Amino acid sequence: MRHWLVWLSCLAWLASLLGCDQTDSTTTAATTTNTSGDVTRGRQLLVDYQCGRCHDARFAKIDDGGDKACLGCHTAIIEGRADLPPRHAWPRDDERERAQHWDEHLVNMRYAPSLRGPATLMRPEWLVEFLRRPHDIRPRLGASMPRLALSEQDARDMVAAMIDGERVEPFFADQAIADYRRALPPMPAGAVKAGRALFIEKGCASCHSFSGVLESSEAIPDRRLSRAMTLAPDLRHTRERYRPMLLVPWLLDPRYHKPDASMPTLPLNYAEARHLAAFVMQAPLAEIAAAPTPARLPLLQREVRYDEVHREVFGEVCVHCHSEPDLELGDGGPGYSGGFGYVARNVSFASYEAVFGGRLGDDGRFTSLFELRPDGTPWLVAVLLARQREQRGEYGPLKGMPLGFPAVSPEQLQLVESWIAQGRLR
Amino acid sequence: MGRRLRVWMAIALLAVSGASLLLLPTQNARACGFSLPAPNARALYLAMAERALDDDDALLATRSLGFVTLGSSAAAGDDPLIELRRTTIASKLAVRAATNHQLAATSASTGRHAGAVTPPPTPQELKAATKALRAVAQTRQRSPRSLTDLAEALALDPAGHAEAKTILEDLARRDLITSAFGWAALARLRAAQGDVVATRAALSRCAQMTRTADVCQAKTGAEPVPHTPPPGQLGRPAAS
Repeated sequence: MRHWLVWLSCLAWLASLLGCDQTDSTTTAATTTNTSGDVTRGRQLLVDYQCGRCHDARFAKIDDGGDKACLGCHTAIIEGRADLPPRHAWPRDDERERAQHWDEHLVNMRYAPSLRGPATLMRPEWLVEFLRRPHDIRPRLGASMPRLALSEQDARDMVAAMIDGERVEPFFADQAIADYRRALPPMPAGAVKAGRALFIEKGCASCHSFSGVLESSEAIPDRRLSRAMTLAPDLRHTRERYRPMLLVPWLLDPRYHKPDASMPTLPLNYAEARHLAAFVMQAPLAEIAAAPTPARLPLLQREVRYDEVHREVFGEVCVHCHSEPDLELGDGGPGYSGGFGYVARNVSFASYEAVFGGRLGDDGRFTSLFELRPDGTPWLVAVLLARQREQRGEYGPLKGMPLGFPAVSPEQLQLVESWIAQGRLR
Repeated sequence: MGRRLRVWMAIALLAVSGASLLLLPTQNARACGFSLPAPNARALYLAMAERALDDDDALLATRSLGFVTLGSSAAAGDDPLIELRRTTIASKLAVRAATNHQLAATSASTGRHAGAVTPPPTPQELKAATKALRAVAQTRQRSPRSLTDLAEALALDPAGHAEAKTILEDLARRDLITSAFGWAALARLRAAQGDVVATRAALSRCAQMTRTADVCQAKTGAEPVPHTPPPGQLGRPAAS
């Protein structure tokens, strides 16, 4: 009796040393490493490029008290876990009003996919390309992966780090494993048609769009959508993204491969999973016409002053990343103080004077945001137009703004252009 | 060791282990809630003071600045960025007061200036303000805003005219003068050299950047510049 009490106590004490550890510690014998990238360097790059601002990932922790963990904070607000300050000294708003106010202002960055687990399901070469030239694969998610200043080797190293140590082995040990160690096995005749029927029967279309295969209503970011519906990708991209042999195991139990997956575990048997996989990977894809270039509206003839431009554009879109560190607890946002791997450029849209303060170049000199480019376009307008091109898949030397967000509307662009053309009136 | 003592030791060890589970810091704060910082009241008052200063409302700017230190429980230097901003605004207030008094005196016969509402700074106060703005410019990596403010102060003293003009002409060439007051100072410096065309150009830019008529005045006695460009002068950059 006395001995087991002592041993039990020692074990409890050892267990207490683990603390509230959220890092993944489970690795199995069936793990993989991607040898085409440097894992150690990749882990550091995940930190340097601040992937943890948006993504939950094992090696991308932002260790600064949480100020730069953007999505972490947003998720806490949505889930009612955030300790929100009162908006007024008197009368003080109650907690419910406060939570509602903050939640209403979260439109585009409500959710982001975590980086736990999915890297092993995907083709590494697709991930490398996506990191360098991100494009929208989640039509209901307003924000998208920002374009970072990544070299190809940087991207390879980061992918290697994401894959390293993650489990890849399908969970069932039967003939299916032998099948899926090879490429996608030949499907029986009629599998695609059967898969299409299952896709509808199982309700997959309630979250996933499948452009070029199934008609769907226009996907508009909606703050009321659940995490699952917001993050569900357009399945058109699956055949490029996924390793074919791992789609069936994923369909059978998403949370085995990705513990925080929003995708529910559907009641599927093995044959049904194969049919669904066949449909997703092999259904004929219709060409999708490239989104038309948004019309560039003519300059406004009426007077446009700064207050209107700030209200409709700068304060609405830009100031969240381009603010003043003095007034924001020392951090002017990635666009001012640096972030996402970009150095500080001191660009602020917080006030009229700030907008005239220009941007800091690599040579230590400031240049005006209104400097005319060789084609006569002011630099500020040029970066807004560049974002429109990026959304069509055209990546030029100029980084489009806003970074990782939908391009400004034609009306917003018209307002900015008109204001500049009129002399940037106060 | 007695049996009873060993049992009590085991119980104590269990209790400590259990308590440590609660007390150990978590490695991922995301799992354990977020606490957003309360709005920084001093930053809000600073922003208010700056807006008032930009609108040439010295009284409101002075009052707002007073709230920045009022009720602060910490020493003035506890937040270097807030202190830097406060110093900048206080120095600019002194400079603007001096400028308004000069303009009011110059325009007394024409009635084109409404007059200054705050007392002028003493020469020592003005000198201290200029020195402070120079230090701010160094801290701010000689940013366009800090240089514009410094040049505005230097332009008040004949000994500083050359340096002020060098700074402002360089900023003007690069379209980096950040305030109407900076353009107005450049206009006065150009007027002092008799360059009427350049003076008018600077006054025109000044008028576009302010809502207050009194700001854009220069000693040449040039006619008041309209606040908005005449109709028909809107242009579009070449199509991309």
